[in-house]
This record gives sequence, C-alpha cells and structure tokens, in this order.
Amino acid sequence: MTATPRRAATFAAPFLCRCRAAIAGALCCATMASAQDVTLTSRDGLITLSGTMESYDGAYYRVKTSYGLLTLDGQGVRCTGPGCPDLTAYIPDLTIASPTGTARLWVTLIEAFAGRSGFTLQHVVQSDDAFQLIVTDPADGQVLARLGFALADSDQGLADLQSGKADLALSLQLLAGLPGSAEVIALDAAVPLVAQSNPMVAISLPDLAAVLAGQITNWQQLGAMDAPIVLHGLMPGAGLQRAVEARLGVTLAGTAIRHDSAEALADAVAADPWALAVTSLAELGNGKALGLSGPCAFAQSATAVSVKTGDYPLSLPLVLYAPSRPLPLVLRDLLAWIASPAAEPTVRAAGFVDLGTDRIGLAAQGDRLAHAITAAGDEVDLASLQTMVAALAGAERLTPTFRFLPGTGQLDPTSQGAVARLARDLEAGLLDGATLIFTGFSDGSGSASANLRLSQQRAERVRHAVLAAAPLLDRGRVALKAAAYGEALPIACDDTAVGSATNRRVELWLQGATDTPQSGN
Amino acid sequence: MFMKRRIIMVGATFFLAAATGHLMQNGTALIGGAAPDAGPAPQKLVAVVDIMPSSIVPLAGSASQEVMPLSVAPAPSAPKMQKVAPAVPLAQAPAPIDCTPTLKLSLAPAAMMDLALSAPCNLNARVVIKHSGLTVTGVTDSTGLLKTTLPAMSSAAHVAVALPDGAKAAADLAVPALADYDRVAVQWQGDDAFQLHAFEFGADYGDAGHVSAETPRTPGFAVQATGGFLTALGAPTVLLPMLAQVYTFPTGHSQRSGVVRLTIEAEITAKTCGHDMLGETLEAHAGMPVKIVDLTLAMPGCDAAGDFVILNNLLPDVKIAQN
Repeated sequence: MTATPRRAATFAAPFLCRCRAAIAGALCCATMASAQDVTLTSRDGLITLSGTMESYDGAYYRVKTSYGLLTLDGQGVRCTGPGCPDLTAYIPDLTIASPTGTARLWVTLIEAFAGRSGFTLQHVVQSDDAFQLIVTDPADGQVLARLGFALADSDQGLADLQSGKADLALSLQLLAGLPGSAEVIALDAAVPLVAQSNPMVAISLPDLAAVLAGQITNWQQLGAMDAPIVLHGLMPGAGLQRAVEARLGVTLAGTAIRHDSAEALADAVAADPWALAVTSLAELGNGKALGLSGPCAFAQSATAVSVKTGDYPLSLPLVLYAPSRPLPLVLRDLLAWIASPAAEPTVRAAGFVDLGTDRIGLAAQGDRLAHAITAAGDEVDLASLQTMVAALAGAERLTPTFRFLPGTGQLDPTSQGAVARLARDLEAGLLDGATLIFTGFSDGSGSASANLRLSQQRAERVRHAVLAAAPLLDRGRVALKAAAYGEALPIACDDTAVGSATNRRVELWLQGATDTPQSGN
Repeated sequence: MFMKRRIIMVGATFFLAAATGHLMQNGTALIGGAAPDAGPAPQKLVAVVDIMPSSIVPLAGSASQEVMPLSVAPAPSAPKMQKVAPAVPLAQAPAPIDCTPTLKLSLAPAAMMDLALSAPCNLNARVVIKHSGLTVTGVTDSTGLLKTTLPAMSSAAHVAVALPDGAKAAADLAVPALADYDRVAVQWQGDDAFQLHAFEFGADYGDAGHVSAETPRTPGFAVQATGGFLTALGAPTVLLPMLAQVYTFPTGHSQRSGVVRLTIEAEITAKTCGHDMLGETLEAHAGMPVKIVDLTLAMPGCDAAGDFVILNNLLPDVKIAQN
C-alpha cells in the first residue's frame, strides 16, 4: 500500500540497470544495487531525461541525471521506470528537529492542524524526545503523513537540517546565511524566575547579566535579603540557554545547577526561595517571573503585548528553518496554516506568544509617556514631545514593531514576517479607510538630530518594504505615512546593548479605527 | 384339555389386564411424554420454555467488536408456573423474566456520576461501559446488578452499556458542575498497563501533592478545592479487561494557582517489554469536546525489566491562573 521511492520493491535490478553516459558511470554502480532508474518525459514528448530518482515529495521529482541534480514539477512530466513512485499511495515521511521543551508546541499545532480537516492523530512514542505523529484520514484509514520528531539541542537540529536528515528545524537562534528559508512561527521570552516566596519584584538587565555570570552572588547586592543566590540553568547546549547567553553577552557560571528540562528547572527554582534562573515564558511552573527594570527606572514584564512589540528586551522568536528544496505538500500546508491567523489560539494554548496583531490605545501607554516626560531635557525638549503626542492623538499603536539586524539595513526575521502579514492584511482590505503611520525611534547614543534622521530613514525603509510586499494594494484605500521622533520615547535603558537595540525601532500606529477587535488586556 | 386352555386364557387375560393397569398408571414415566389428562404434573417433569444464554465468552480477536447475539427460538406459550428465584439458570418453573437491562445515572460530588445497571438476565457478565470516549469493562454481580461511579467527561453526559448478548442500555445526565473541573485520562486493554501521575504545585514522588493510583485521594478533595483526585475505572478480572485512570482537578475554584504536572508511566515487565503498548489519552476541558489521541509506546527491551518509562509531554500541564 505504501511506497516511497526509497522503499520501492527491488525488481530484478541487475537486468534493468542501464549504464548511460560516462559521467553516470559512478551512478551505474549505485543503480545496480537500487532499482531507482526513471525516465521522465515532458507532456509533449519532446524532452526526455533519464536518471535515478532521489526523492518525490508529492509534487516535485528530484532526479539525478547526467546534467546533475534536477527538480522537476511532477505535473509537467510523465514518469516511466522502476524508480517511479506509486502516485496514488505516497506517504510523506518527514523529520522535524526541534529544541527540547518544544514538544508540546508541535503536538498542539499538529493536533489542531489535523483536527481542522477531520483527520485523526496518533502518537507513536519512544521517549519524550523521540516520537512520531501519524496523521490519518478516518474516512478511508489512509495514512496522510508521518511526522517524526527528534528533540535535541538546537545545534544538532540545524546540523540535521543541513545534512538532510531533518526536513525542518525549529530554533531559538537567529542565524544569518543559512540556505533555505527562515520564518518566525511564534514568540517566546526569556524571563528571570524565582520562587513565589522571594521578595524581589524586578531586576535590571545589567544586574541579571552579572548574576548569571557569577559576579553577583548574594541577594543583598540586589537590595533583598542576605542570602546566597542559588543559580539554576538548563544544559549548556539547550536552545533557550544559548539564546539567553547570546542576548545578554554572558556565559552561565559554572556553579549553576543544571537541569535536563525546563519543567525540572522550574520545579527546582519554585522550591527554593534563594534560587534564580532564566527560563522560558512558557514554562514558569510554580514560580514567579521578575520584571526587567533599569537605572532609568522603567520596568517591563513579559506579557503577550510586550513580547509582541519587542518592548520586552528579552523576547525570543521561534524560528523555523526550512531547506531550499521544495517541501512535501502536506508540510507546505502545515506551514501555511501555522502562519495563518487560525493557528494563533493554538500557539497561545501551548504557552507561547502568537503573531496576531493587538492594538494598544494611547491611554494604555501612560507609563511610556510618563517616562518620556521625565526623561525630557536638553536632547528632547517638551515641544517635540508635544508634536509627537499631537500627531498620535486618536491613533492606536499596533503590536507589530520593526527592527533591523545590527549593522545592516536588513529587517530581522520577526520584522520580515510582520511585513509579510501586514501586506497580506492590506491586500485583503482589512485596513481600508485607515491611515498607517510608521514611526521611527532611535536609541540615545549620539546626537539627537542624527538620531532623528536615522529614525526617519528607518521608518521610510519599513514603509517601502510593506508597499513592495503588497503590490496589489489600492493606494487610494489606505494611507501609509512615515514619521520619526528620534530619542523621544525610549522604552528601555540604553546602558546595555540589549536595551539600546530595543529602543531602535519603527512602531506601527493606526489612525481611523476599523472594525477589527481590540486586544483585551 | 379344554380346561387347560381356559386356564391359560384366564391367566393371559389377567396378566394383560394387570399390565395394562400398570401401564395406565405409570405410563407417562415409562414413555416420557406429558399425558394430557395425567393430572398434576409429576415432580420429575421439566417444561423448558425460554432459553437465554447467561454468559458468552467472546472469541479471541473479537474483543473490541460487539458480540453477535445467538438466535433464540421464540418462547412457546406455557402455563403460568410458579416464579422461581433467578439464581437457577434453567428455571424450574420459569416465568418470562423481563430481560431488558436498565441503566440509571445520578449526580455525585465533583461532577461524578453514580451508575446503577440492572441486567437480570446477565449475571456475572462482562459488560462494556462507554462514555465520551472512555471505554471500560464492568462485571455484573450474581443478581445482574452493577453499581459504580464514573467521572463525567461532558456536561451533557451520555453513558451506554453493552451486554454480552447484544442488549444495550443507555442513559443521559446533565452535569453542569463539570465546568469547574479539568479531567485527563489514559485507558488501555489487557496487560498494556499505563499509569497516570499528577504532581500538584511542584510536588515530587511521594509528596502530599503526588496523586496516583496508589494515593488517589477522594472526590471530597476536589469539592473543597484543596486538590485533585484520581479514579481507577474498569473491572480487571474479566476476560480482556479495558481499564482507565482519570485525574480530576478543580481548576474553576482552586485556591492555589500554579501548575499541575502530569506524567504517563509504564512499567517494563516481562509482559510489556519489547512490545508496543497501545492506549488512548483523553482530555476534557470546560466547554470543549473530549480530545482523544491514540498512543503507541515502544517499550524498551526486556533487559530493562523493572524500570519505568516516564513520559512528561503526552499530557499538557494543568495551568491554574490566579482567580
């Protein structure tokens, strides 16, 4: 019933081996052992290609020919030969590499994806980190896909993607220069975790970095009780651990107690009033999260809104890396569904932050404005603050916020996804009649006028990117503007690299509200 | 000469008369049939009127299917006999007992249902109880009664019981209290024994917050919102038992906020090692249809016998937010 080319029955292979050109001489020895010879003929019969079938994904053939490895659309050619797949009974057998701790996210997503089409799901489990999800159509019992999961540290996952062992890899690391595509599917955040009985409420970014590095060792140095800080962490290779260390620029001290899983970490911290760890927002367990404060006394806690906007400095995107080759149809459907608004409730149910757009009215931004007024002085005077407030009166901030990769003019993957989703909504007419204002902001280093120009450039770059991504948009229906206010509205303290990177942003404001629902906070 | 003949004839006649008389008196016993004018029925006679099989052993391999009912000859009309106690399978003086099974459900604390099954013709019988995906075996007692308590998995609860002869009984019950509770369950057949463990608010093995089949607590805990409890379902002593463990937590009115971690465990024994264990997990959360997922667990080899396989990720943690 099932047949993938790799499992195709071996007919009398030696008799069918056809050794062709000299270049294929090396192939010949391979084909003698495997019966994967195929001949692909174009529909009009004019072009014929022979070679060995590497793979078939339900839509495309990958064939090794004398011209090299070719990918051909299955609809354009006819396949003859023993290596041709059984087109009526193809079952994709796929491997997804993912960091430990993301099992529930995948299970929840695939359960919802299968459920929406009336398919049933079966777990075949060897252990928590090695399992398969089998999607079946209950109407005829046909297996539609086998998705295998191998949870390991994120280095292994990306290596498996490169070597072809995995068809997809999920990672908390933002790596540039990988072939294929990278798409953000959900948002996580790194959160300082303590026991419920710990009196602390917030910690500053520099202090947190110092604690993790082992330079601050007593709670008294943070203004709390005289007791040693007991550090906990995940294993050194764990995706979240690496992402946090990279973001804060430190390595976790050797004295830290290591745990295999985020659950074990959360349970250990919750049991000890002197313990501290940095963990995922999705796995707080029975402990409590500390907010991130700063010398400018501006505290941020990790909420859905603060993580979506990136105002929370330690927001961590979950990036799905896919290879450059075409993916099987069922996987393409799954990825399209994950990127769609339909998947947002499922992402939330798994404990992560979804990519949907929320709105924040000006009234809900009192903290930011109060801080801006406090910080106003020589560089940003009251007049420019008044101009800004006047321009944004009656407008709401939307959660998509755009940031650039450091030192480049390129948007980071989260922002690229936000551009694509905004373009999709614009073309669908969801924002008709409104005015969108791309407002640029900068960090506080350098002169105010230079920062004003920089933020203006950034705002215009984002506006341009959105327009380029929405070629079908009728410009008469939605107005897209760019504005910039430089250093006026800092949301994080500039004393760390993380803080100033958070400040360099382009916000999205909406004037002329439409009917779409608001975020209920 | 003439006298001799006469004596023989008289003797033969007398003998015949005596024989006939004896036959007339005891003929029915000799012949074995019911004589219409024999008067009161003799003690040894049995009128077999209504044959009902009292138990059917399902064939191996058909355990999950309905047992096909045997065809039963229609009961001939028989004179009303004295009603005898149902403990005697072949009624000595049988009356046509109403074999229709009845099922009654009533509410019990913590969104549980008290189930009372009466199946007068299914004594000591293996029955299958189904409710919202939960499928467990039960066994009636020697009077055909089964009383058990079942956790409700839907607020419009429907329970169906299938009896070995093909008869069915069903009942409905509204359980509005279910909105305050979350339930998760694991169920299996035969020797594929899974275990459900709950660790409430950071408890570890053996702590007070560790709930399992060994320390299941009672529904009262949940009613008072001090914690959850575990219910073990299914009669293990029948052929091909279908068993389940259901954990209930009062999410709606919990006094504490935090996380309850759930694990599914399986012991590696001589029976389970090296095989695939099959089961199902069920989740019932307020207002949502019951989610059922098939589970196949590839058990390690037999040199690991005595160890446990512990799975943390199959069931999501129960997250209780501050009310």
